[in-house]
Amino acid sequence: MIYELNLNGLPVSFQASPHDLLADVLRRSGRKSVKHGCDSSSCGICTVLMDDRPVLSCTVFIAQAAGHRITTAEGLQDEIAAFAACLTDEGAEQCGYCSPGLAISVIAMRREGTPADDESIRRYLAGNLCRCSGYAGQLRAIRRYMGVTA
Amino acid sequence: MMRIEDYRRPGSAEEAQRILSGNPGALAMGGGAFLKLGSRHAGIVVDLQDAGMRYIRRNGGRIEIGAMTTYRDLETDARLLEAFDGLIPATVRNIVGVQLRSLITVGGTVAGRYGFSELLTSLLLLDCRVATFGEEPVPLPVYLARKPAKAELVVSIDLAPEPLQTRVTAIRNTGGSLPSICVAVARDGDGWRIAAGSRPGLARRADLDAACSDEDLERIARQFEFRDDAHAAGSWRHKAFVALTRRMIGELEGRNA
Repeated sequence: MIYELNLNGLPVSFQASPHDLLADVLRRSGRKSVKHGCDSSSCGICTVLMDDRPVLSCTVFIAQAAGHRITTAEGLQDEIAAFAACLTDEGAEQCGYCSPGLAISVIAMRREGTPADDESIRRYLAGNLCRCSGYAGQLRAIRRYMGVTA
Repeated sequence: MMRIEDYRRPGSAEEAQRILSGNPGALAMGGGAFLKLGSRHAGIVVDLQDAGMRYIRRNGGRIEIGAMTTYRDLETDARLLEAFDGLIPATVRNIVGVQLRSLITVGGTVAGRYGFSELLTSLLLLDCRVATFGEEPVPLPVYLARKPAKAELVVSIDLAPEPLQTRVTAIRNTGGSLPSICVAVARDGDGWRIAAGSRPGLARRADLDAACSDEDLERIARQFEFRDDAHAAGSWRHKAFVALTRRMIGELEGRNA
């Protein structure tokens, strides 16, 4: 079957089975920022935007995504670069595996106007897990990105 | 991994019902999150995202919530943040993450009759009715108790506004886990409504007309028949229920002191 959607601002079509996961289709198409992490819809590493909402691409069938606007990290380079600079400045990354998914969620959080206090940030990002960092550096980076001064 | 032979995306509830009624074994899909976890081989899957069932609105004095309303919609709706002391947003906002809550739906939860569901636990406290296509709405407990009808399509739920004071909580092993227990309480005048889910079976409710004693809590815990499963022992659930309920009732009593 052919499935058409808007990917990073451009119309695209994919040949796939209806039950193929959006994460797999995106990776096959070269969008390697999208990764599998848990297979249980819990880690957030596969986060993409679907019509500006952060969703788990490992939990969306390609058939469900057809007709929607899908945005990966590859399609958000300016915002990603700004957030990445904050991660770097705060020494917040270790292996980096969770970073694209985290960046997507942080960008969505900021776009939605989420308050920039720690509780709101932690609550919004509860679905983005990191095995390495303990979250302290990431939280500093996110505060910096959200424009919160100490 | 789930396999889908034939994927349909109808443009209305009527069309969805026609497909379900005309094709025995066809599966209605909300967000698909729970379906995706299984290894089912599905013939026809009916994706309801375009069927016009994603809404929260007033209807005849009740709050009507369409079956395709997501948990994220519930969490952020201004009317639900006010209604029932904010019970419904409080119930869903700690479930895994924003990303999953943007996918899972009210209808998927209700039709699924999931024992682990925190939303069903809280809805049991309320005057909640379930509307299936072509049928009159029925009270949620009646819906949950009956066997799923063939080709049943949950279209919406509706809630009667009530000036309740409420609290809800759940305990889970990790942030991404299903709850080991979930409990919700509502102060109803001088009495209490108490519901517990993830027993591990379907949630149950008990009502008290007056103040809640420790003996009452023990009796209700026995009534609820908590059991063992991989997440927790029944004996732990029993004790956790008593402790959590006592704490939440104490909070609500303290607020009025």
